[in-house]
Amino acid sequence: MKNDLKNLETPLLEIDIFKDSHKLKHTFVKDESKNIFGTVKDRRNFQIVQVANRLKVDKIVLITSGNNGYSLSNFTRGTTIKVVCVISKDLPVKIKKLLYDFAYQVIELNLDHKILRPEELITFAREKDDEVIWDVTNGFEENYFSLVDEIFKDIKPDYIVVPIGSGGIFIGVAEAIEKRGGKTRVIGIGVQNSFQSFADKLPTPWTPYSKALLHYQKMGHPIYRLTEEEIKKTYHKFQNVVDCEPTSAVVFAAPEKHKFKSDDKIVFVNSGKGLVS
Amino acid sequence: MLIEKLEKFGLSTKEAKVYLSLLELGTSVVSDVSKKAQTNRSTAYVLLESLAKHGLVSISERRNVRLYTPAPPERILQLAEEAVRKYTELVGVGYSLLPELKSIYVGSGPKPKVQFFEGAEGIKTAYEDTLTSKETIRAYASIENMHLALPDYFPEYYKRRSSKKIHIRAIFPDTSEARERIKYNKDEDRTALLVPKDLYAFSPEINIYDNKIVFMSLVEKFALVIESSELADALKKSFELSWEGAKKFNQESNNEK
Repeated sequence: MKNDLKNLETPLLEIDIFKDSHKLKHTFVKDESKNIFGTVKDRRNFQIVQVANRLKVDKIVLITSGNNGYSLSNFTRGTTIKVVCVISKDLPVKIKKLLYDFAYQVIELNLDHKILRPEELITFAREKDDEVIWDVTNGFEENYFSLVDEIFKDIKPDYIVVPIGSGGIFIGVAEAIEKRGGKTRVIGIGVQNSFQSFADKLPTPWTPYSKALLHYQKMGHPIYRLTEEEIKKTYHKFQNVVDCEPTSAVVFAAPEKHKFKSDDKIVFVNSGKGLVS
Repeated sequence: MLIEKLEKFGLSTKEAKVYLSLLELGTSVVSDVSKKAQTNRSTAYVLLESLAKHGLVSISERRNVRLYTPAPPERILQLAEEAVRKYTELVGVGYSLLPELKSIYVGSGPKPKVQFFEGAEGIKTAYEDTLTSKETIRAYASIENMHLALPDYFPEYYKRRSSKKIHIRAIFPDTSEARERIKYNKDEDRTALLVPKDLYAFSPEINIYDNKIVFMSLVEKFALVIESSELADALKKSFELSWEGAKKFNQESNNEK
């Protein structure tokens, strides 16, 4: 396959942006924008395409706000797998255009207040009776274990802060930490709005991970949800720290929400840079 | 032999027989097929209809007579390919179901965890874990076996436990060693009841605290730590029952809190 996951190790950068404001001495960014297609989702998408290609799946369908569909479409290049992106009709034109260029098919829907189940997505994507179609909107979160492994190669963090939408990244990181043992905690930063947000990839009307999220919260891995005002303020303040988008910048709101100790080692995961700036 | 192989494609023995007969005969009426396949006419009819559903037989009519034609043998390959597609799609359904199933599994709470420790060091590890208790430890213990198994460990352990303000309620077989130990109940933050050794002597120690049950075999030298809220809760209740029973022997330590 042309796109090789070996290229996917991303840098862990020490930053000092909270040294003065919050007296935090050891803060880092795991920069997932440096993945091949600019998103943390590259980690799962590579594996999805590997498995689907091995099993001769004809088509993959997913709901996407851009990055995920773009990444998946690119990973399928050179294979016979077709990618169908189900998107909100309100998605910015530039992102739509990119998806139309790279995906096999783009289906625009009014996704507001709609919960689409896998079987419905598969029905949308089906053109022939004998097609094998997979919905990959969720799942494959174990492919984020490598993200945690890479961080632990360099430091033993007290906290890993991730953006939280449906919760796949949060769950993947929490599972990886649980398997390792130790005291590291995951912090999820999400949005209060369920349908639309300035952090456009985070609103989720439904998630298959709801019970697991509650469980991990009880186990001491907190989730904070930001107002639209807080999201905008955070993005405008930190957008130049790394190559990020509003969705990924939310992690930098963690020091405002969580009481860290000055000596805590905190890793902020920049989940991606967004398709258009 | 051929029949057995055809069965692997989801055909019954009788269906396979009828299909093979029809392959030999070519387009035929049901009576010819039943004769060739050595089955009665009504059964042959049902089997041919079933084969038609598999796409292995096509049905036509000529002058009000129903004719059955075998599909080319390559249809068997198509059947296998269809099954592959069906199961590959099922793998996809599995992947999309997994987040919800895993979520229910994880969300149903922590799973019982069992740890096994061997030798004197292993038993010490288990005793050290009791010092993490956030509540009163309930214990069945045999003082002489404890001191025999880990001679240098006690009574230092008692001191450390009491300094952490972890109280223990213990049921001891009534021995001279136990009577000697309970003199220190106050200093060692302990409440103890003695039970007749001729009726209830035991050598292992069982500690119950938080969501844990610790079994320590002080003779065979191993410890088993089980983490399960459900089991710990049941054992705590069972201990309370024992405690009430032990009280009746009226051999309670004077130092009970």
